[in-house]
Amino acid sequence: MGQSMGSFGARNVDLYMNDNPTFDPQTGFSFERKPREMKAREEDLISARIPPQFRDYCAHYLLDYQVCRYKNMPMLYKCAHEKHDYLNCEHQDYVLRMKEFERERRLRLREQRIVGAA
Amino acid sequence: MQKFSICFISFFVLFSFSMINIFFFSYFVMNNLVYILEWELISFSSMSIVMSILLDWMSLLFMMFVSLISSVVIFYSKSYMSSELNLNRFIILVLLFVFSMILLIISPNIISILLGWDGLGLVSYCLVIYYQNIKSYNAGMLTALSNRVGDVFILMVISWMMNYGSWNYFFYLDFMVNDYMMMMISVMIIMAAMTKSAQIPFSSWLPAAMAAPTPVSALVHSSTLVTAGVYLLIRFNSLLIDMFFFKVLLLLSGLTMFMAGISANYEFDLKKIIALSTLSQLGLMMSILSMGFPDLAFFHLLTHAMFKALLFMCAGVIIHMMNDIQDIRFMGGISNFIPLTCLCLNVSNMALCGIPFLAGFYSKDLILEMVSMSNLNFFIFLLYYVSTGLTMFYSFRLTMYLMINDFNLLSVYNLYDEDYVMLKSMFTLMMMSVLSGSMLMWSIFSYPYMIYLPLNIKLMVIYVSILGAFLGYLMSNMNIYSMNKYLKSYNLSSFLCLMWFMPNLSTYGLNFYFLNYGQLMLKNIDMGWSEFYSGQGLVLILKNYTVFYSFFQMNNNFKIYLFSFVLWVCFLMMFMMIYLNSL
Amino acid sequence: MFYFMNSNKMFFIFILFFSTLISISSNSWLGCWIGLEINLLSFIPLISNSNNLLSSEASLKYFLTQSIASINFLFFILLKMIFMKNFEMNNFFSIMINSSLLMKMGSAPFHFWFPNIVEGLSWFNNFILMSWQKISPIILLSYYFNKNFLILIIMLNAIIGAIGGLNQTSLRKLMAFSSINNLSWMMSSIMISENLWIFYFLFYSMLISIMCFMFYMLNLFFINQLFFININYLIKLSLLINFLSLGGLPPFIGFFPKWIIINFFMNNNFYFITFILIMSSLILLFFYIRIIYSSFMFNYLKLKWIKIYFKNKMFILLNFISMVSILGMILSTFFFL
Repeated sequence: MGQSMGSFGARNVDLYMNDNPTFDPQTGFSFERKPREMKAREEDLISARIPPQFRDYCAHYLLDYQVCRYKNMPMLYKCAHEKHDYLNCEHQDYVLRMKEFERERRLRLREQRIVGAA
Repeated sequence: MQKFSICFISFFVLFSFSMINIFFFSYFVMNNLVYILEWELISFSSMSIVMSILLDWMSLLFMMFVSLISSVVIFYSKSYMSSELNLNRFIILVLLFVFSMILLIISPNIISILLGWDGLGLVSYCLVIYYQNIKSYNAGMLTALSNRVGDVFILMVISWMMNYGSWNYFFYLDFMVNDYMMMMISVMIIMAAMTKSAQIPFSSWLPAAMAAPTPVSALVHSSTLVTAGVYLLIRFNSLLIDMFFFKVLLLLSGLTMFMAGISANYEFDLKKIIALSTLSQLGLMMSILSMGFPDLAFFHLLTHAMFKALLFMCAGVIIHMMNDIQDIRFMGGISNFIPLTCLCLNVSNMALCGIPFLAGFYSKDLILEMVSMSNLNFFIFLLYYVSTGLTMFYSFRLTMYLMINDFNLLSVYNLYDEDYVMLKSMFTLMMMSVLSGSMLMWSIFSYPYMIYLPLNIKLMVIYVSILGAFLGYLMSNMNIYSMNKYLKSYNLSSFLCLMWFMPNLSTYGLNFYFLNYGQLMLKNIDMGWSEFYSGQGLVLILKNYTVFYSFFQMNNNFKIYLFSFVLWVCFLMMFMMIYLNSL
Repeated sequence: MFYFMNSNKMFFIFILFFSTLISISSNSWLGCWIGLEINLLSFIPLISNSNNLLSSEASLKYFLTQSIASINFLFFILLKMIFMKNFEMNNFFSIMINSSLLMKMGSAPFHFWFPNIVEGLSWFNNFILMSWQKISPIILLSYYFNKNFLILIIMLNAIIGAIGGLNQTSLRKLMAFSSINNLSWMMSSIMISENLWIFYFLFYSMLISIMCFMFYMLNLFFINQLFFININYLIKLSLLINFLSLGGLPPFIGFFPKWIIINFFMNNNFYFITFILIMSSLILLFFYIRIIYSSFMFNYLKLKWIKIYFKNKMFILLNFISMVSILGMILSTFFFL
């Protein structure tokens, strides 16, 4: 319910959860935005056999977590710090995606106002 | 000889087996290993019959839990069933059950799943009818036949899977997802799991199967038999993810969860309350599975097994103590007399409700948070949270009835639970029920779930729990002289109490109406009109004709006969005249 | 069997055979009539027996009916020759000729003399009356029949044979009605081909011969005599099986000719007649089974000091023929290996 309630306010600009951003990434920002880069290497991910859905921009924390788990087996509670780091990174990623969504929505509203005024 | 009874031997074997499995499990889950051991039975020119065993971390973990619980239950039944003359028979049946379950867990192909599945159904029938009275027989029949429907579905799955050349579904499920036949197979697998795990159309057998002895309920109806369906769906999960029928399963299991929660509030039989609580948790497992989170379902399956078996064992102690009375209206105040059992009872109840940091918290809370994070309907959301509240409701009501209210059976009494065999087994499970949640959470989830929720949704669990507890307190204060609201809304009450009339559907609806219709057909058609039109009616007609005919034949009326021939000739002549005139 | 020991009878039997041959192999209708007359004249001495009142009355009745039929036959063929000069089959005159021939045979609707006369004759005479006397009228029928009339007669025969036979207790009358029913099958085979008729006739006369000779040897005339007769089990079994075979029950050979006729009828789309024939055959079979069931399955009070032994050579022949009746269908498949 959370996800669909989140996009509920964006229906009037025809924006849904799975859509890609349609505006230029640089508009409205005073500083220069760089594209995000993967900090984990491809061959590391492949050799650790991480499933495809987890190979996102936080994968380097995930790799550290897996290494820590393997080393501390069976006292896995000692890896709480690495798990916390990974979950924080995921949280930041989620918040970033929410902000991108909101930006898209506001830009479309602005578009509508501009078109409506013209 | 006395020391090494069959209980003790089997307890020892199963316990050591589960300890071995812990080590194997931890090794397998770290290295993400999957071993498949194959034994080739027969090999003809191009056909070979191979028996395979699948060992990956899921099956090892489940085997560990199953063997742990069953070892504890067998140890417990040494004292619980001590007055039983044929204890060997009982233990052997339980062992057969355990072996069938293990066979189901370790099989990567549908044929050995069928062997385990059928073994489970059959042995659970034998165990349910163990006390041989009429109620047990009826309950056993209901159990066995409901499970049999699931067997039929699996048999059909076997025949459909012959299209793929191999019955080892484990290898090709990921590849064949979009095939039409796979859709048929998945529908049937879902139906089979629904019968075994007692979801909505088939859920009448689980409360009825409480006619079994309590150790059997602890083993079978809390952790192993009813979770076999969930386990099967977890194995087939990669097939079922985007199907429409999976969403139907979500609805039905949500409704099961809700219905069982409501019905448990109307029940006064101790074991039936626990059975309905099991049914509610099964609905929770199935519904989270159908949302697309199989590992969460598996996690909840394991932790639920722990505390539910513990709860059944405590119930067994209480029943023994109350001289085999199962009605909670007779019980009360037992925390003053049997504090150790009450300790286990409390821990188990709190784990069921999801009190923080016990076993149930890790699984249940994570489930509810993932549910809130995902994309679903308001109705389903409501079902989840209201059912959580109802869980708290009936648990608290049970606590009130059992421990806080007054003892209602006798006026002079002394309650006694110093049976160290039963206490030791309960303590084992209590330790596990406290620790296993956290242990499993660290081991299983290599890739953690990130939860990000607004404050009120996060606290919604606490809101519904407090509300449920409050309602439980209020509900348990019913007295004989307070105005009983049940009778004012009799139809609604009986609908909610009797499990939405589903037992009627499974028993009465299948027997009485069909037989009645058959009798109608027999009387009216078979012995009625069809006799008139074909059997006896023809005999009557022929008899009349014969008698009529012999009136002409038998009179020796020779002269009339010859004269009539002459008349015929004259008639022909006349005709001939006409004919010739027309030429 | 000892019939032939009498030289008079032997003479008349000889002339009987020849008369039929004259009738069926003549070039003109007059020759047919001559054959029929000689047939009549030579049969009368065979059946008349001055010792028995019933028998002589039967022979008188036979003479009257058959002579009327012959005279009508002569008249109608002369009439036909005047008007039609031997052209076209399915016309009005054929009805007249057919009806006289039907009276000769004892087929419905001119059959009322037939059970009466059969009641009065001995079993051997019955056998000749039911099998041999039918040959020449049927062949003459096949030369000049009217299809529509014949279809009507077939159906009438079948129904009358079935319904009349239900209420009989005398074995001779029962055989008479069975003969009327089988006459309908024979006439229906005429409509297909004469070859088929010969086929049916051979089987039918074989079965009739077994039945008549068995009844002759056991000296049975009524059904209740079957109940307290003290014969041994094998003869009972053989009688039972031949009865069933006559009724047309499948593994026995009586089914075979009926099956072939149904087959040919189906090929030529005569569905309704087939239905009537089968249903009447069913009723007749019911009646046979009723007799068999009551007499051969139940244990009646038997006269135990009268035992019947068979020592004549006739019985060996009879057994051989009845073995053909039992096993014939199976054995005939060996012909096609």
